[in-house]
Amino acid sequence: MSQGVTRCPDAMPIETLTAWYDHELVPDEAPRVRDHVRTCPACQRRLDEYGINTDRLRDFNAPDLHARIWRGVQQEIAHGRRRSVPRSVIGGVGAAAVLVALMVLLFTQLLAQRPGTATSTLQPTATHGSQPPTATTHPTHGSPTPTGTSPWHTVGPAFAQSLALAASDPQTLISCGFVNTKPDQLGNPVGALALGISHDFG
Amino acid sequence: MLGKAPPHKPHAHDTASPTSDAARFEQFFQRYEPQITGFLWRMLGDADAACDLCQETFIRAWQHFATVADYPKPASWLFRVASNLALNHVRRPQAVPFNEEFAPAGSDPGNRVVARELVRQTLMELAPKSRALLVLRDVYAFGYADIGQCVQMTPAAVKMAISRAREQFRQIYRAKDGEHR
Repeated sequence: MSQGVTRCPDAMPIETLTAWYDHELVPDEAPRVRDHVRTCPACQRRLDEYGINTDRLRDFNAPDLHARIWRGVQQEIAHGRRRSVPRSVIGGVGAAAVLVALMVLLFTQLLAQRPGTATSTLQPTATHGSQPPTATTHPTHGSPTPTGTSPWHTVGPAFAQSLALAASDPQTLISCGFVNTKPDQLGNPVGALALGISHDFG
Repeated sequence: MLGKAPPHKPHAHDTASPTSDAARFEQFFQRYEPQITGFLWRMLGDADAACDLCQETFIRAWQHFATVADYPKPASWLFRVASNLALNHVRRPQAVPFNEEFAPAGSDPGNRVVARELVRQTLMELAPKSRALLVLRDVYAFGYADIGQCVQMTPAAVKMAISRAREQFRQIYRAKDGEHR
């Protein structure tokens, strides 16, 4: 494959020659390579060929797409909309959202195992039938008295809103998991739903 | 013309407003678009795809403009985004016909078109990451450390990979040129 290029008698490594060509050699190494290249026709020919190929790459100019791209960018920004999201991304976000929902549900069930101790902002309609939802609060926080046998813990509204926002952003990846589920000092089951939210900038 | 800009932390010397942000973004676009288009064109060999991904790159730049505009080297951020987009795009193999409509006219248009097509074919035969490394180095003169940041590689790995990419380009081009003559 090295047609027309004589092998270097000193077997100069290609990586070293390339780094020399790119001016990326460490200062200690540069003088030795410079002296070698001066006297080695094989390396000189290879460097010349690198130079010609660099020129070829630089001459391979892009067509003038400036106006077309700017028009597209303006339209996208003016309409305040994102480009269509690939299906794989939608699928990934959907799966993450389902996973989060399942974990939250599991978490609430876990806490519901100890009746009458949970703060509730949502009531499961199935257990209350046609009765209107009843507000309950944690007993340690005072009245009103806990009601029902299946109180639900829910996340706070601000947290839920943040989660919903993150889940709707196709560039955001949500991961979650339980950490440390054990009773607290009062015997209430305590669990932490660990959520990791990362954002892809590129 | 442009929508409301993302929040911008003003410098002491400028007044932040949607208009000034839009104006700054337009200047930013004018300055960097040719480089990003050129990079994507060499990565993809396809004007339509280069156009789409360049547009996407600058929309992301707009979304993060308050931060990106203040980077000491915003071009590095743009190239990083463009590299990611291009590498994702080329994971789906597709034959791209050379579009002579976009070939620039020269003193010898026939030879120029052939030469450009040889370069394009040679580039397309390189692995996508090798292509990105070679173009970032040879065309845009990025240092190994900067290239490493763009493609998430160490400078030492970049050095090795560029060496291989340059040799591959040399050998493939020679072979293709030989076939053509």
